[in-house]
Amino acid sequence: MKQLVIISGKGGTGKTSLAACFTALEKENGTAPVVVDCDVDAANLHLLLGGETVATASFSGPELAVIDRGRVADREKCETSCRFGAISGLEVDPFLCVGCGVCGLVCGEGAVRMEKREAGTIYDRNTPYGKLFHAELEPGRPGFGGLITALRTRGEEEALRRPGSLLLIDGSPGIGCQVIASLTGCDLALVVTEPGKGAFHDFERIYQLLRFFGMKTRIVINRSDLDRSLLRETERYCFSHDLEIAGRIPFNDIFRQAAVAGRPAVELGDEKLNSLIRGIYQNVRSAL
Amino acid sequence: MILAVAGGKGGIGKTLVATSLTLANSPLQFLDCDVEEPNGHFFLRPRIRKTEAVSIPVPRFRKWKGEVCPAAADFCRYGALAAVGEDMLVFPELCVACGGCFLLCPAGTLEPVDYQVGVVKKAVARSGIEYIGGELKVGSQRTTEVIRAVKDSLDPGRETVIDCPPGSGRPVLEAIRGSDFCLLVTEPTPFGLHDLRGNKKLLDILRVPGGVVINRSGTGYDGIQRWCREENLPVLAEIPFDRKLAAAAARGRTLTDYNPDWVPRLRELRETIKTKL
Repeated sequence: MKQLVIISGKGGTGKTSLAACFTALEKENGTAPVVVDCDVDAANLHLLLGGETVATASFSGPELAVIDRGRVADREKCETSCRFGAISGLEVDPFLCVGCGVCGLVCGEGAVRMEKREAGTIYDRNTPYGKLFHAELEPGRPGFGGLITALRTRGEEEALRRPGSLLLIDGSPGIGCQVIASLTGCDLALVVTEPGKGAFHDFERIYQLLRFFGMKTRIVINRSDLDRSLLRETERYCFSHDLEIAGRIPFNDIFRQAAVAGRPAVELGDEKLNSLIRGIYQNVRSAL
Repeated sequence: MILAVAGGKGGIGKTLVATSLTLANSPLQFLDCDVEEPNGHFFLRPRIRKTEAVSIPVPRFRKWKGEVCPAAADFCRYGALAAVGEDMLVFPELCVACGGCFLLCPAGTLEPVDYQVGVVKKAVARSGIEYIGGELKVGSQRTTEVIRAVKDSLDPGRETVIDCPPGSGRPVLEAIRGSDFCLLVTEPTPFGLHDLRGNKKLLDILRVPGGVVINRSGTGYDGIQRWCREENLPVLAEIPFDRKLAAAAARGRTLTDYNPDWVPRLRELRETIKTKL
């Protein structure tokens, strides 16, 4: 089983649009892929792939401390034990509590118990292009990393049942916890960037992270004709770091139209864009 | 007034709106809380005066002080501490600095040492903007701690604009918390609507009033307006789709740089927000 992750550093560069195209092209090539949407904070891939949910499972995140107020002997000790400031008036703020269990450790009266709490829902979806696992996280909840690992495990189990299938992972923006959880153990990371000062800065940061993990990397430059000198800056960086550019996609309205239509962009019939995306797909596929 | 600028989806124009609004109404204080991909400085061009480290206390095992302490390793829910033979291994990237291990070890065998997870940069930017920007260290997962450090540095006496991270998770909650109002930037696509819904839930939890800015508008999809009407969420501004603006923003130019007509419009936006507090 090969695992491909699509990430970006900066958000909104076209990860999800490209992931949907890759899914459709992979299916066209014979084997339906297993797709995991790890952008749990803004999970949008299902809006492009369609299909229907066949099963849901709740996901528990970090535990929550629950305090039996009547049994607390030393209120100050209890409240000051929390390094996250989550306990005030012996009430636990669910958005500050990280579930570390220190309040329970210092409590001599056993007034604290750690409770499981639901952090989100995992959806198992059948789409016309293959299996999709995605998740919805309760707003404001910590615990991305754990949820992503759980999602990827579901995807891996499914992919192992379907010999020869590709596991395609749509990552999240940024360089933090959720990104690290989406890319560890993958065979190749495809970074989608665009010419822009901010996008370039974020690209450099995500590349540092990829190098740290020693990952094989390919680059796609989206909206490549937005600014010539900024495009050069990105290209020069790629050349000097021996990073292979899998392709460039000029500014177009097709990705937006595809989002509104709820379909992968390669199905919208723009021949020029389709042949570009096909080329990128083949480059990446042969590097896997 | 503390005004947060958030948005469910990445690349939606949060930073463009936040920096433009700050410039048009300056001198204000600007906080870059999008610490995983901080980009506000490209628009505001601050001259950094001070860079402060953001650190968390992680354990270090002092072999010469005593025995390994398996109880502390067992207690750690994050797998940041392991007892291996005669030694204790620390994985600082996994440590959340709860301090539990120190309580379980005999005095002095584990000592807290500062482990850097990011920086806070302080500067004066153009138009007299007081700039405070956080940056997460590459490889670190302590996004929330860096955001908190940025917010701890704010001068509460000054009117402030906060550029938030994308999404509606814990880091966003930390960035918005304590704000008087939150602008939610979105785009007219089903993606934009889907992510706006998550943002609205977050504002409801925090009890922060909000309004919507539709970026890249004028392309025919009206799902955002319809949903905002149902939810009673005011649409306070629209930025028409314009390829030249996209190119200007890529070069670090704000709305006000691109077209000075935005200055009075963004001043008016601030006045409108003030009536909604």
